[in-house]
Amino acid sequence: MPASPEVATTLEAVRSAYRSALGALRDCPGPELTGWHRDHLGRRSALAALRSRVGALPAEDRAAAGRAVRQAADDLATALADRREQTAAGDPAPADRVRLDPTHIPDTPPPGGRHPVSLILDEAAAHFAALGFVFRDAPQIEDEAHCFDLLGVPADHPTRSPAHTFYAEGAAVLRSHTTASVLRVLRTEPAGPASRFVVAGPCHRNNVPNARFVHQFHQLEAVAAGPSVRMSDIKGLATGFVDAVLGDGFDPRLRFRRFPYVSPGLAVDVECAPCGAEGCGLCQGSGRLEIMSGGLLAAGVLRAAGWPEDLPVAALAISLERLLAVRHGLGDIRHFLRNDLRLLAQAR
Amino acid sequence: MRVPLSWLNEFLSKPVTVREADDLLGTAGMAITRVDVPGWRSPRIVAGRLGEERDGTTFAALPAPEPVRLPAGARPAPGSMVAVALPGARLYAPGSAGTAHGLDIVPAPARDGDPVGLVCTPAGLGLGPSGTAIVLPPATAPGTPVAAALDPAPASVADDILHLTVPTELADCDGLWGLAGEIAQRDRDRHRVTPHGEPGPHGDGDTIRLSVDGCGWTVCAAILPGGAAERMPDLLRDRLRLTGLDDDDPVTGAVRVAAYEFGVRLVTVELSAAGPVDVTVGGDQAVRTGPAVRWPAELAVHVAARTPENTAPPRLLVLAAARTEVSADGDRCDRAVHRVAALLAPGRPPVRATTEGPAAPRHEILVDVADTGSRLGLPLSTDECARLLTGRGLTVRAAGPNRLVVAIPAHRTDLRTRPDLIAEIVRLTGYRALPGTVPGDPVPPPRDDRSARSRAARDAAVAHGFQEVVTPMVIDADAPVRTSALHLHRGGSRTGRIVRRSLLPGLAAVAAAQTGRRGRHLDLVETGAVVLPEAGDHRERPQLAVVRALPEGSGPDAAETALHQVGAAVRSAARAAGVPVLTVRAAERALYRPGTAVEFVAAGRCAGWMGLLAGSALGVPGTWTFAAAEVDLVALLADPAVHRRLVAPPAQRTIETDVNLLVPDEVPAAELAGLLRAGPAALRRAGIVDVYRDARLPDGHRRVTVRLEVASDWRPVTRQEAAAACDEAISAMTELGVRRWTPPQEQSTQDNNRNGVIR
Repeated sequence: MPASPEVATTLEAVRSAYRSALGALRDCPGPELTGWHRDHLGRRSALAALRSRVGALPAEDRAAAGRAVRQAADDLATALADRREQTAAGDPAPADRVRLDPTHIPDTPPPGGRHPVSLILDEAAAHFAALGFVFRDAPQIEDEAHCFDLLGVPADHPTRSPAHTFYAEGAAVLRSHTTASVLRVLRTEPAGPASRFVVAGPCHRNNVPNARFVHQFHQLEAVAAGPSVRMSDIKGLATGFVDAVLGDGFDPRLRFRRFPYVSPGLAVDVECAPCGAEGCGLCQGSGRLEIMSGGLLAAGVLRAAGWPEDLPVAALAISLERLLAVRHGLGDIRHFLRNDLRLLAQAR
Repeated sequence: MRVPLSWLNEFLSKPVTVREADDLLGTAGMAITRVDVPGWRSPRIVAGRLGEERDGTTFAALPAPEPVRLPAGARPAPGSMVAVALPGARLYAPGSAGTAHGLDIVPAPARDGDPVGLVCTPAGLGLGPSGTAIVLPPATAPGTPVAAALDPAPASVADDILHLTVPTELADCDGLWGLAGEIAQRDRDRHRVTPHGEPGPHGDGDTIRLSVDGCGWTVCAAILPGGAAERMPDLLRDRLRLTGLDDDDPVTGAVRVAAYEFGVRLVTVELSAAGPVDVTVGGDQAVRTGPAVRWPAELAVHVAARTPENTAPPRLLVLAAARTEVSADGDRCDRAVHRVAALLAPGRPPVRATTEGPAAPRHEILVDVADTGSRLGLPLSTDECARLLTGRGLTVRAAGPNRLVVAIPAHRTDLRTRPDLIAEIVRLTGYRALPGTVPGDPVPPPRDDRSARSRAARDAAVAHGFQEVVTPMVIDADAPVRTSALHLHRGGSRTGRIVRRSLLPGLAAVAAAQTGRRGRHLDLVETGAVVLPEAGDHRERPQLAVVRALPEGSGPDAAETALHQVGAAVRSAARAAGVPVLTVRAAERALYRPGTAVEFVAAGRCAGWMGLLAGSALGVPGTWTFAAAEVDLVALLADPAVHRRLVAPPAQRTIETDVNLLVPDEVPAAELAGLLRAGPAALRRAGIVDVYRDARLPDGHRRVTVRLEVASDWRPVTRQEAAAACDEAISAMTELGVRRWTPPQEQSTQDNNRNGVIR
């Protein structure tokens, strides 16, 4: 049954008085709370006047109107008690607070930051460190023996041409892959029952730079040696690393691939995220990008290192720029060499 | 090897997609290095709204207006929606010579104002022969790929071109037939089909007596009737063009098609006489041959007619050769010659003969199946192992429990040792079959102090607000700091290159390349290797470089502040790397502006330099100034890390006093600080807190505020004792021309300063 117009007017007046009193209470400093009580809950307050009007309403409406007035008075009394507690605890009155807009968060990057390549290098090194791999320093300036000859790369292999590799005076070569450094580390380490290490850093190839190849890129190579090492360990390391660094959404594909220094060898591809596997300059239309390669080191390499030829030594090399490109959806790895601060600032 | 996907799919009962082909062939050890998607399906061909011509250049909204090139023919009206191929897009170029394998590649603009894209024709998109611009539905949104704008998708040429690398040792995978075989082996649903070259019935006519001397080769010979050859179907010609094998001569074209499809070697010989012939392959004498594809030199062809020469129309002898183990995979040689016959003389089966040469010697490898399984981490039975190996031309026999002897065909030069055979087994099983494990028996990692300290130093500089960058180690030889650099061989490049001997030119180039930072300084840090050949070898040395780049118009104050910031960052870096004390001393060094350079000293060794450099000294155009520090991490980290010693605060009351000193400009702060530290025993701490220059100061002087703390371990010091200690410390500097500075108006406060603040 609809309420009579008088009751509706009274109820609306109660709500209005309640809102007005509550608004005043929010901005009321502590010392003035007594005055607020007098003005809004006292005998001359609006609520008191409304309470007196309830008696004039029709009998059937009096109960509802009376309840509304009583409820409003009770709520205001509770709010007053809360406010008194706040002021007693030292909370300043709202009017005394500094006016601020917490929704405005300036979009200003911090002044300094790490380069994404060094960030991912540390992340990868930490991932492998948790599995017992220790970081080993290795030079970037190598000799042909470590870079090619001792790894079984034939003398007429195209990658040995000066059009692909940087040769310097005195038969020095800028390492074109970290496996050269792996060999150097193996030669300095005694062959033990078990050994695990990573080498990492810049590698150099005399390529014409494009979205997929640059003449300086970074690799991290993890090496595990021991009688119990298996080819499946390389798969586990590769898939575990992809899961850890790229997340579960990437399904790495392991592909058979020959390299002179491993047998068997493999390459690990993931879906090219920048183009959504549609084909781009980075994946060169294939929709997949090779981000790792490795295998069990060949007997010739172990012989060159002075290690037992039948000791399984697993190696897995990771291309960090390509990993970054996939992780951040950037379809051109040259960005990581350009050092445009507008890009670097986003990677912090 | 370029493989049009539709052509490969003709050899399979169920077509594969690019992704499936990549998966299945990649698992087999072949790599698809690139996929060209030419024509309308290319994502680089988008819709664009044609605008008015301005200054002789036509623009199209893509959606931003860009200059485009129009094809010859009628110009579409302004406002028309056209297809625009962006740089890198591949367009069909049917029938046109001089294109890259039947495709036109849209070039990138070489100069400002050059067209960004090319308005496409139906011919270029593979939608028909027309050479005028194609017009798309007007409601198409500019920038939408054309493939999405064409609804429904047109039923026209839509081929993907796979760029496939097939290792030479996988001779059985050569040709579409071999590729289809590899796919079928890995996906049993896709049985191979034989649309072409099914070995048909032998034709009637003169016989061929074929003998093969080539060891390990199988040869198939066929005589095709003479007369004009059939013209090759257009589809096949277009496909040949896409593979880069097209030729106007029908015989050459047919031979190339057969060789491409079946992966065999082919050669033709024109026979001038009718009647039976004797063909010897691999002998000493050779006849002049016609079109050939990879015909091996060791298989010289000799043909002898058994009847005297006559006037019969010339006939064509076609010879196909393949290694016997490869040819056995579905009679490839037979199929190939039949394919040539079907193309050149359809409906007329040729006379054929097939002969194997002497068997090539095979070497044997003993395989321990259990050992193979443990090396791979894959449980493997002897039967499974034998099944895998026999499928690819290898022969296997048991040699005891868990042992197999595998006979290797001569063409598998990659299979020489047991590990090679293990690799072949994993190639055949595929890596999907392997479980993913991690190496057992964790090895506790030893400490790796040097790298960790180096990283800590870099991180400390970053924490000071410096942005880390990574610059190339190889730089152009005309870069500055090139004296005595390690030069690289040119290797085809026009300019000489060197290995950097300093990180600074790279950092300067980074600063100069930043746009939109006019008038603001830039803080950069890098850790990297440099090579200093004068050190006697080519070993690289890790360095840390910290740079504040000051733009044009920065005054001396900014330069001094920049040096202070850089120096503070280096000192923090040293501390973080476990070098608690890094002192500086004035030094002169090439490239640095005179009077601005200092040397960092750690444990008595020079560990780097800092100073101001002009941009021109680092090869940077413009008027940049750089406050830069180079730290040699080898020298810095030569000693083990020292944990900072912490000094407990004095238990007794201390007195701290700030004293203003008037210091001649030629007295460096480092010397001042050194003298203060060597002051009286009661002086517990002394440090420079402010440096100030003002016109009110005497010429050639600056004001330096030092904070001195005087204390005793045993009792509170008095003000008089503190003042005496300060006076003693300051008097030690008078020989350098240093004296207290008290401006006249501050005379009244001097006493307060002398009294100090009690802590």
